Amino acid sequence: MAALETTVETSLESGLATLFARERASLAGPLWLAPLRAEALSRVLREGLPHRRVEAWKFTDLRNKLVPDLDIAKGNGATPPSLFAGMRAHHVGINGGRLTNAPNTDGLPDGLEILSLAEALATPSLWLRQWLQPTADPLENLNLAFVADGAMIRVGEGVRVALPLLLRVTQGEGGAMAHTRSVVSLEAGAELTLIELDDGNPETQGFANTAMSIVLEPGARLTHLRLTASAKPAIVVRNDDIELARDASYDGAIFSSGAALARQQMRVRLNGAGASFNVACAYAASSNEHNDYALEIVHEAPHTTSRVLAKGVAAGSGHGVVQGRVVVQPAAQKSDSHQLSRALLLSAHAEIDQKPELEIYADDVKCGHGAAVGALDEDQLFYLRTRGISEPDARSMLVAAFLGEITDRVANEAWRERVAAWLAERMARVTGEGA
Amino acid sequence: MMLQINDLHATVDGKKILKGLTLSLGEGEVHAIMGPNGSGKSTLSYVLAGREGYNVTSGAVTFRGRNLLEMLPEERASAGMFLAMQYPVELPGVTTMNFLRAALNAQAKARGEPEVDAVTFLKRIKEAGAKLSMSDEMLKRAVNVGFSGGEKKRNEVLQMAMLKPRLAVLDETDSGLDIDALKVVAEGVNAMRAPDRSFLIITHYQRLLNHIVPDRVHVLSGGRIARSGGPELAHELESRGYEEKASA
Repeated sequence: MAALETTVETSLESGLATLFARERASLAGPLWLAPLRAEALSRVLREGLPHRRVEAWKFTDLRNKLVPDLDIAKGNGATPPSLFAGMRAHHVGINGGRLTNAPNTDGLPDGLEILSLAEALATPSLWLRQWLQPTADPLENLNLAFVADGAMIRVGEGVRVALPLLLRVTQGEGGAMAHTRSVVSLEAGAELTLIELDDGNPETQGFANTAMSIVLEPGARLTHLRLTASAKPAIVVRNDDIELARDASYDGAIFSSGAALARQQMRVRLNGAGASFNVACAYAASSNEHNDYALEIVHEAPHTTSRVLAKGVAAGSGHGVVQGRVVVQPAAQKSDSHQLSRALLLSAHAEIDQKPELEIYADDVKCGHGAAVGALDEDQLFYLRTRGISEPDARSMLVAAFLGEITDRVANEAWRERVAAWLAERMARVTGEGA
Repeated sequence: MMLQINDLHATVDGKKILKGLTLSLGEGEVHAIMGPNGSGKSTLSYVLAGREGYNVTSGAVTFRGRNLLEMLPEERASAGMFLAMQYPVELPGVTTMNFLRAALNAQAKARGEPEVDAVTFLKRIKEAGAKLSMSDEMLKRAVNVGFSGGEKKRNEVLQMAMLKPRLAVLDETDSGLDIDALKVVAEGVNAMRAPDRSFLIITHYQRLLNHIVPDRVHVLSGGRIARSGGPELAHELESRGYEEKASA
């Protein structure tokens, strides 16, 4: 086999090359997968891990944050109690890169299938190839090079799954990378509520690089709730590829707070007329936390709609980033797109970067964007304090209220309360180090 | 003594507003402070509540035996001070229910008292709301968001009724109220009059004092008390205006 061609710039990349050489024989998968993994890694090594000189990573320096010599997670990390313990759902667990808990088929309603990627790869499984191809994205390529497992979730045509599906990705192991890849596929007219929880608390740096493909066939509806609730010093990268066919709809609420670095990359393609994508993102970054949302939404078909609302808070030395790029292709006439990003800056050392971009190639469309950064309102703070609420509590309340617009998007009351409670706890920490 | 203000001087943005204000308010008493625009009425209320930017340059304020000026706004509240604001603030995303519960519990905690349990709280706020013609639906809405002027003032009185302060400072609570709303507010205040509770009613007009009869009326002019008298002074001011009395 030919040696990997590399232009390694840092010890990180050379560490990855060494690791891949050592592990490649034991990485899961049929014969056809091995060269795809090698190609994906060589792309990573050729371009290097992302850093701030790369436009898409202008505000986030992953390469500098990662420690060298990260090993491959072996799926044996400790699992802390779940924020969503006791909630009624179909529970699926991924720990340290391995699917550790999937409901057996008997426990699932007709039309909902959940398969382990590792198990699927142990069979000839040529159909999986479409989900395992190198791309232009370095994190997706890194994921493909090392991916061990993931959840393959399919909802059959016209099936409405009553209970939410809870996918929990825990990062229990310090010093390890976990690359998982999942696919959520909703056939025509299917409906699913997908809830994801990224958490875990490694004592040394863990790196979770999760890829997820979401495919919504005509008329399918996905309701999505995600909490990226990892704790420092974790680094979390989420890569979402979302495709919507005719009249399909995606409705998401995404929350992120706690990790040393969290980057959520969402690539959305509205491929069929009448498709609708609506996401609300929240982040709260306290000191030494970096929260980055990078969205790219491409309107390919006419009469498609996209909505992005991002709200964030940065305190101490926290850093928040929201980048939203909307592309309207020539065929996407009568498309309607709006993005709004608002942020609260709670200290002089905190940083917020918001960068909306529009690329419009059609002439009959409605596109808008707005961005604003401000501080807490002094009149509101004083009002709360005159009623006996201490200044730190008043700050927490106002910040929680600011993000409440995102929490309110969680339609189910029981889940919303869990999210709000988690957020309130995070707020107390974030505002505690306010000014 | 509930509140003792001695020779109080205060500035806002470097401008002298209060210039030697002295006032004694006994337990259970209701005093009205009347005065024209710019006489320092609102400055007095903000100084008492502890608003940043309202700087006391000299003088003393003693509230229930404690040096008020050394206390944070939230400490003043827990010690029993309440300010009903002239322009109540809107709090998007914070419901009146949650806001009041947080306030009650914060004050209870500061005083070393047990927190109010959810059931008792709900019962109390519904009763208090009903007396002020505030529906449950209003209580579940964000504080003052989308409220009319009158609704905002009723919300202030609701908060006062729930927090049961020892001293309530009402800053132009009558402004912007029609006669029916004025009566509702006045009834709310009158229902709370008690031997251990005092009121400082700051107003431009006499009409609120037809419904809440004060023990004493003071005329604030040029940053100090220019004249004091009984309830009849309010009527006199109403008929003759401030100009003459201020210079008297």
